[in-house]
Amino acid sequence: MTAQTMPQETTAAPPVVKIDGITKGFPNRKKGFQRIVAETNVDIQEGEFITIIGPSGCGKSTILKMLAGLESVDEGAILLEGEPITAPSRQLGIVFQQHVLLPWMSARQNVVFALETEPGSTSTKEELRERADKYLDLVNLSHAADQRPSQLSGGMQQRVGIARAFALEPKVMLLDEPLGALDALTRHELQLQLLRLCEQQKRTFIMVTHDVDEALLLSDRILVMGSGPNAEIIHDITVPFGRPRDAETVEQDAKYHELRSFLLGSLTSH
Amino acid sequence: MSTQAPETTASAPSSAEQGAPEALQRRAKAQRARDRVRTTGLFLAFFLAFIAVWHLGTAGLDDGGLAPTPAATWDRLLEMLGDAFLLDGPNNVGIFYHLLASIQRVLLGFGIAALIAIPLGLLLGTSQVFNDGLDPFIQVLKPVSPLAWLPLGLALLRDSQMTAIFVIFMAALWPILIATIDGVRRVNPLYLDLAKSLEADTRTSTFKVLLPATLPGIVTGLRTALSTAWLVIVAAEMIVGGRGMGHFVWNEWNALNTPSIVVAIVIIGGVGFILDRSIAQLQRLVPKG
Ligand SMILES: Nc1ncnc2c1ncn2[C@@H]1O[C@H](COP(=O)(O)OP(=O)(O)OP(=O)(O)O)[C@@H](O)[C@H]1O
Ligand SMILES: [Mg+2]
Repeated sequence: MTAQTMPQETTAAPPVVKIDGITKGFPNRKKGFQRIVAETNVDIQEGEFITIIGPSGCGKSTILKMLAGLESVDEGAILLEGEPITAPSRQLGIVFQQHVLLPWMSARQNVVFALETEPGSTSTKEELRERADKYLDLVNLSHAADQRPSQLSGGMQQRVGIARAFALEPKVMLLDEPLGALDALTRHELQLQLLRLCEQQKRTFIMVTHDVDEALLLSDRILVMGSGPNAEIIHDITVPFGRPRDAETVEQDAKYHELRSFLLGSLTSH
Repeated sequence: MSTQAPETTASAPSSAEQGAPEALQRRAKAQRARDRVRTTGLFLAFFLAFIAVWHLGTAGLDDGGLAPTPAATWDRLLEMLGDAFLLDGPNNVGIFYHLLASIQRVLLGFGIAALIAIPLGLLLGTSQVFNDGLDPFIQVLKPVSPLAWLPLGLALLRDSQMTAIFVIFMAALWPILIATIDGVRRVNPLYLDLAKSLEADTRTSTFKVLLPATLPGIVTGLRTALSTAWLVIVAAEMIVGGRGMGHFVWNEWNALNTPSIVVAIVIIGGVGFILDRSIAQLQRLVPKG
């Protein structure tokens, strides 16, 4: 295991995502206005897997929404390849915490719908179908492509959501507790699947999670947020495990336990 | 604890039923059959008791035949069904044509109301500003009985047929509008975030996301509106005259022909029931993508 695989240490390329001095607050009944996210600066390199972890309510989802263009920034800017993000874009794929599959469409139709809404798309229905099937296959759901969401288990629904986001082939994938609503067994299984998928599909990932083990298994860098309101990033940790990874080797690494207790400590000491 | 492994589809109930021993299946079936017999028996008992009370209540009355007895009603029913398609001058019209006239008015007024209320509801549901601006009007006009509009309709439209349709329109408008606004508000906001993040244009996000997601609410509104319209048409037709169930009932009352009124009531109820069931089928219209 070496720590020399971190892109930002080996290259001086411009960051794919630059969070440049953003702050965010919301109107508040008592105080008039409550700042939620304190000034934040982060550079994210292409191909990095970043995890944001922090106590409940500190503003993780808010940051992810700003990254997705679904929420505006109060000050500063978020730059995607140098251009400020001001509106949602297909370059930014989102996997929500609860599955957001349209219940009146089958799994495949959900993915095809996401593909066919592309403005100016010239693909035929057949091509879109094939592309949808390819990504459903990547999450091992070929057999369930024709089922409606209500016929699928929670884990399967979440995998359709993941397949849909991957199928858009976005520059950056944003995942808000993608596995948070699942039972422990399913979650572990999907963590491994997600790990494999991320290493296959070289992309930039920004994920929010509550799960320290998930963060250590999947990420290159972990951003730890302090408790809110006016929360800031209190640690920026480089994860020293090489790639490709597998769960056993990671868990047996001495640094794993060290990092794990450090993370748990920093999450509970507030 | 969920027992569904991620690989299995959620078909547990049907496979459990297949795996159940024959005896259990048979017992469940026998139970269902027994329940059905009981329900039917109960219905028949109530029906007979109702007829008996009706008969005893009306047979002894010496009121010049004003109280309709079951026997007289039955005779009248057969007579009316026999003459259902009669079209013999303006004063001798079969019950079918009265019914048809009422249904036409209701469907027309209701259809126009739906065409206006659904798009307007989608707009008001999505735009807080529009909604806040129009809400006072809705709140004040909603509680007004649709019949209150009738004289105004007569004065402005100068046509009894148009006035009846206008009254139905006013009766159907508010339930559809309010249910649509409410339906839009209940749509999972993440669906709309999804549409935004897919850069879907307004048409796609309206017709492929917002409308299907709002459909259950809209159908509820349509059902309420149609029931209300069917309630109101009878009263409206008593006033505006012409052909129609309301006019028929009022005419029969003027002729002191009460068995006809009982028959008309049963027909009005039955048709109302069928209308409601038909509109509930709209629920299946959700596009499959
Ligand atoms: N639209 C909004 N209006 C007002 N306050 C908001 C809004 N969105 C979020 N907040 C507030 O911002 C804070 C952070 O919310 P956020 O959802 O980002 O937290 P989180 O870190 O994702 O929490 P969790 O771990 O529980 O998901 C909360 O106190 C929340 O009440
Ligand atoms: Mg959150």
